[in-house]
Amino acid sequence: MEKLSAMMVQEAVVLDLKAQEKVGVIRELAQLLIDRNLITDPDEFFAAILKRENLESTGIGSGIAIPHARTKAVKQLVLAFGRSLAGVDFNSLDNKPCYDVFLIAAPEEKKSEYIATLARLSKFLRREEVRTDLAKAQTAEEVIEIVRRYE
Amino acid sequence: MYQKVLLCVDDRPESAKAVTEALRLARTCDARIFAAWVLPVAGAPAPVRTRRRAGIRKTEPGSEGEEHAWSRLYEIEDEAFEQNVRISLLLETGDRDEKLLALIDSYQLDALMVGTRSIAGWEKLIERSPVAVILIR
Repeated sequence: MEKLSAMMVQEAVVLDLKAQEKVGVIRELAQLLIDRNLITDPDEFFAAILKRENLESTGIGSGIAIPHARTKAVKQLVLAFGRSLAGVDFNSLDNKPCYDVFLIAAPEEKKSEYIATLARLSKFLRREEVRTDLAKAQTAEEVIEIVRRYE
Repeated sequence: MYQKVLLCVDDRPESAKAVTEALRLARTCDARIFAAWVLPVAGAPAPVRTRRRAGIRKTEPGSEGEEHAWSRLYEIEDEAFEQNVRISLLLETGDRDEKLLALIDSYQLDALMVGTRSIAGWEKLIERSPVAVILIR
């Protein structure tokens, strides 16, 4: 499987998210992928990712959320990252706000890679040192370097 | 009927049957599933059969076992998504029975579903569980 750091899109790394609620955060991150032509049908992508958010919480606890969707509207498996300084309510099971949001966009046919990416990212983000370093990152390059270092 | 069902997940074929039944139950009752995989604490290997079927040597935090557990949980999530079933994923580390009982208490769950060939190994949990325990063979 491709490395997480290789899936990250540098232009889709936001160190201070403007949006203050879940749907806004998803739209803000997804727009960066749309701007780079990585998502061919924004409406279909939003519908898929919001349907999932309505069925479950992608806030996995410890201040982390991983909104994700696998749809025909996506060209290749990519990751966007957003950091919220204030925290965003993702209806996490631990009832705590999310500060680090990794958005996964995957093509319909890449099911196994998509599952593997979710699993690897979830494991990776449970490490406290990763979350601490992400909180300190000053640039998009640093964020990607942290992912590369720990994955 | 049940509204919040805890589904204990692992690698055994009986667990896969329990997933199917849990999703069916959730569709019928409009219930929400809490799919939980409990990893043993570091240094305490999972039962040999579980390890062999998973193709892994150890299941402990930070190891390939954790990633494997997440993979299975996300497969179940994907299945639930296709069926419009609400689901939450939980990966815990520690004593299986204690963790499951703690989850039942924390999230005010009203049933526990387990895939198992026999009741052996589950007696104490059944005795202590404050909610219905549904065994799927």
